Amino acid sequence: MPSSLSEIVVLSDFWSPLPEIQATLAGLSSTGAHGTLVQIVDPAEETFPYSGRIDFVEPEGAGTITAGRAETWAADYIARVARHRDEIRDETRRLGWLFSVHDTDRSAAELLLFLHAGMTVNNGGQIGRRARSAACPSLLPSR
Amino acid sequence: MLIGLVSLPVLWWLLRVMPPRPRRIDFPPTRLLFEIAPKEETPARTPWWLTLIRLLAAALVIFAAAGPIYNPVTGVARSDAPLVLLIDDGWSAASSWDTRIKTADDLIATAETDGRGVALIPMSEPARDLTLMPAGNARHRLGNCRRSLMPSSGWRCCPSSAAS
Repeated sequence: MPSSLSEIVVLSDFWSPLPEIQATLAGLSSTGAHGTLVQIVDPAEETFPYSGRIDFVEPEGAGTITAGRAETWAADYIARVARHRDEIRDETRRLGWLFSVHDTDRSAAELLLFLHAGMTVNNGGQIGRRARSAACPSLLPSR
Repeated sequence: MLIGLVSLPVLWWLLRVMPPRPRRIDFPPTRLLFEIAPKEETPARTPWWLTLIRLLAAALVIFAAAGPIYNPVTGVARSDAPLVLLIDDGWSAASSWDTRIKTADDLIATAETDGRGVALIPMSEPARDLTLMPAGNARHRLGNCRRSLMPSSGWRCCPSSAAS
C-alpha cells in the first residue's frame, strides 16, 4: 500500500476497459496518495491509419477482430478513444489526480516537464517534504 | 482443350467471392474495436485489375495447354490426301542438298502425324513406279537418296535452255 504521502505516477497505455482502470485507481488512491496517469500511445493508435482487410490482434490474448474495410472504422475508433479518455479523465478528476497523454513520437522531455509541473502544483511548491514513489509499471498492462 | 476456357467464369466468381487474406496487426486498443465492430460486413473486394490479371494468366495457361502452333504449315502439307514428294536430285541441287532433305523430312514427319501415305519420286528417275508407303518407309528411302550426277529430267525436257 502506498503511503498517503506518496506521489504516484502510472505510465500505461490504459487500453484496459474502464472498470479495470477504476479498480486499479481505487486501490492506489485508497490511502489518500496523490498521483498522475500518463497514457503512452503509439501515433497509429491515435490516427488509425489502416485500410483494407485487417485482423486486429489484442497482443495479450484478449481476442482478435477482423475489419473488412478498416478505413471505415477510423472515425468511430477515434471517437471511441476520445470517450475512453474522457472517462479516465473524469475518474482521475474525481480523485484529484492528473491525467495526460504522451505520444511516442513526441519528446520525452515534454512528459517530464508535465510531470514536474504537476507535482509542483500539487505540493504547493513544497517539493521534497512528501515522499515520492516512481511509477508502478506492473499495475496495468504495459506495452 | 479450349473447353477449359469455360472454367474462366467460375474462376472469376471464385476470385470475387474469396476476399483477400487479411493482414495481421498487433493492436493494443483492440478491445475498443470490439465495441464498434458490428456496423459493417461487406468484405474488401479484390481490386478489379488484380482479378483481371489472374483471369488473363489462367486463360494463357489454357491456351498454352491447347498447344498453339506459331506460323503453321498450310497448303499441301495440311491436307488429308497422300503426300507426293518430287525431289530434284540433279547436280544443280547439290549446293542445297541438306536443306532439301531436311525439308522433305519435315514434310514426311507431318504426314506421319496425320497418318498419310507418302510417295517419293527422285527426279533423276521419274519413271520409277509411284507407290504410296507409310511415312516410316518413306523416311528410310529418303535416307538412301543420293545426289545424282545426272542433270535432272528438267534439263532433258528443255533442251533449248540447256543450249543457251
